[in-house]
Amino acid sequence: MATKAKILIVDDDADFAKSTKMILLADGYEVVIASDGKEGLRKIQEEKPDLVILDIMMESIFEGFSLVTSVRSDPQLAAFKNIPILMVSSVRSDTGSRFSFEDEEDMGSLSEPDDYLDKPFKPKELLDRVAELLARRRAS
Amino acid sequence: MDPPKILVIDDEEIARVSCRRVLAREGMQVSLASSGREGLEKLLCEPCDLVLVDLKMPEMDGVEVVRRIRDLDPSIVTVLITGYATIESAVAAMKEGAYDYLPKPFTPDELLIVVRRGLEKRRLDLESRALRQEKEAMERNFVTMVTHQLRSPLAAILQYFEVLLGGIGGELSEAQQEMLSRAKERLESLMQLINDWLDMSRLSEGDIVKKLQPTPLAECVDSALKGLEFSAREKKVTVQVDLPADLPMVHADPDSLREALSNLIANAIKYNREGGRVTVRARRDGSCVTVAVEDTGVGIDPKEIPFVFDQFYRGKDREIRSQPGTGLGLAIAQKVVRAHGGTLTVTSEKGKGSVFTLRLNAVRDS
Repeated sequence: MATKAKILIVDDDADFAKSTKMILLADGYEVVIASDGKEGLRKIQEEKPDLVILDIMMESIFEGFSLVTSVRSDPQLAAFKNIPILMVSSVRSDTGSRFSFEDEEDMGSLSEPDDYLDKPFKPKELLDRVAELLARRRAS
Repeated sequence: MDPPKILVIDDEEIARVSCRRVLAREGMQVSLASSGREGLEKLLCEPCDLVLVDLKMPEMDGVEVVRRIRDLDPSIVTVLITGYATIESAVAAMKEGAYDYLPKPFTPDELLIVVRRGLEKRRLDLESRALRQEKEAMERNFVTMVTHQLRSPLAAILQYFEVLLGGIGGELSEAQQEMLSRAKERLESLMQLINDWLDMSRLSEGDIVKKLQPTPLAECVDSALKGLEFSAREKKVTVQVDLPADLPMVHADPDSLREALSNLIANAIKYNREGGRVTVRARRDGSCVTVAVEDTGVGIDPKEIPFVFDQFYRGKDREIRSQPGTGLGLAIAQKVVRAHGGTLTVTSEKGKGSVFTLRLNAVRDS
């Protein structure tokens, strides 16, 4: 199967990253893994992925969000500014309004990802979202 | 550490200056004001730790100055300087929030003792305030951290199951498929237990009370039903909603009320018989609105009724035990309804069904 696109998974949970990788590999994607925000930023520049799947809570509660902010606004990363980001987390629904993307006031200073998925997800759910984000990116 | 900042408010220059001499010698930073008004203006521009106020001043007396400082910033410590004859009014000023008083004439040592004690009190006040804030922040983040620690490993495990059951790790035999499916179901109910427990611990009566607002009941019932359509269809249970059109609004926090209703209706579906019925009725009852969730299910043994709202309590009946559940749904509903100032009660007949009745405060027509 020809490789469809390159996807970077940024997640400090090695198991979660691995199972996510298997789902994507089985569907013909090329997959790269980074285990924290810093490595994620480095791999974005080195590997130039077409899409990033990003965990919200790694070392700190906001590590995922700060990576989004860096990618979107750091002038050194301008080439990757529009890379689609799919955020995943097992905590969003339980952290109250802090992570609810509808609340303008709380989300004011945080950069928004392009899409969001609660962990765990069904393989099809993930593949649908990824395909949609990639299609949207290509169309724009 | 910064030197302590002291303000002396006294209309007599000699008193002001001698206070400053004593305190400055101890390394304190002292500013002076000759009237209450001037002192308050200085406080606005430059905050300080402790204020010495003369009781008897023309224009604005010491008691009034103390009161205004307290309004401005209650953490500033105030000490009144009084003549012997005015101790009674010094006591009155202490009722207004002055920390201590110092009768004239006083020696430098007496002044220092009172000031040092006042500063110590301020330090302790500020420290305990900082600790309290830190504790509150920890409590807020605690739930987030626990959520993360409990849910992340489960999410990782469940994700592997999704991959395996999706055939991504290779073909599975029917027996393997079945065992993995069962294991996944058990994990999912563990996840549900964690979620319910977190819901329960996060529910705070104060937060609900703050969000109480006139709420149309029908909207809450509708949104509660939305998440339950699937399980009702699966169980072949008909859900009927019977709300009078002229029902007054209720004082409610829509989110938590929806959750309470959803738990009650979910139970009514889950513990029903196949082909059974759930009816949600409401009516006005004086200054209240009562909402009844009625089912045609297995019912509750009268002996068990007193316990059904307890956390983690589950019915002993085999038919009840055969359904997955965490024993928290009713406890959450009860907590929500109580925070609303309402009541949640149940009547039931074994083998026939149960009626859970919510009483909520109605919004008065105006």
